[in-house]
Amino acid sequence: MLVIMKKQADDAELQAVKQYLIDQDFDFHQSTGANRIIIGVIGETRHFDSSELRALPGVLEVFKIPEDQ
Amino acid sequence: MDIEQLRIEIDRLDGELLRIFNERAALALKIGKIKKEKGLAVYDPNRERRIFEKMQAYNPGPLEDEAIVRLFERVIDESRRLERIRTKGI
Repeated sequence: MLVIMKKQADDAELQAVKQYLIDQDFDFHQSTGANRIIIGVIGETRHFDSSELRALPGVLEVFKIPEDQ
Repeated sequence: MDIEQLRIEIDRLDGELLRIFNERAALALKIGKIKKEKGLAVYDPNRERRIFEKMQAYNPGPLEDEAIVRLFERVIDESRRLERIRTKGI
């Protein structure tokens, strides 16, 4: 699962997202780009409801990786 | 130095990095255990930010500061993951 942060997301918003993921028992890899941060979530996300995560301040979008056919 | 000699040198440094990464991880695990005993959170954003700032301040190059941050992000992500997994059952 990928969490795309908004360009204008601040440190507090990023920290809240990371804390949320930890509270949900996920690990993650943060990738800081030139003007945007993407968080790659590690763990079983198939049955995870991402609506709460998507609604957190600073989050632009949450993408689940499609299952292989 | 030719390419082969330079690669031998890189391989030597990779071995050093491997040793250092694991040494660092072992220390992170010790910290994780103490955090668990004291009821402290695994995720410490202020500590992580201080590490990034310090590494950028000490960075002699040729890697850019942004590259240093990306490298240490990965090191810290993996340390945090290890801490979380290993301290779960303690």
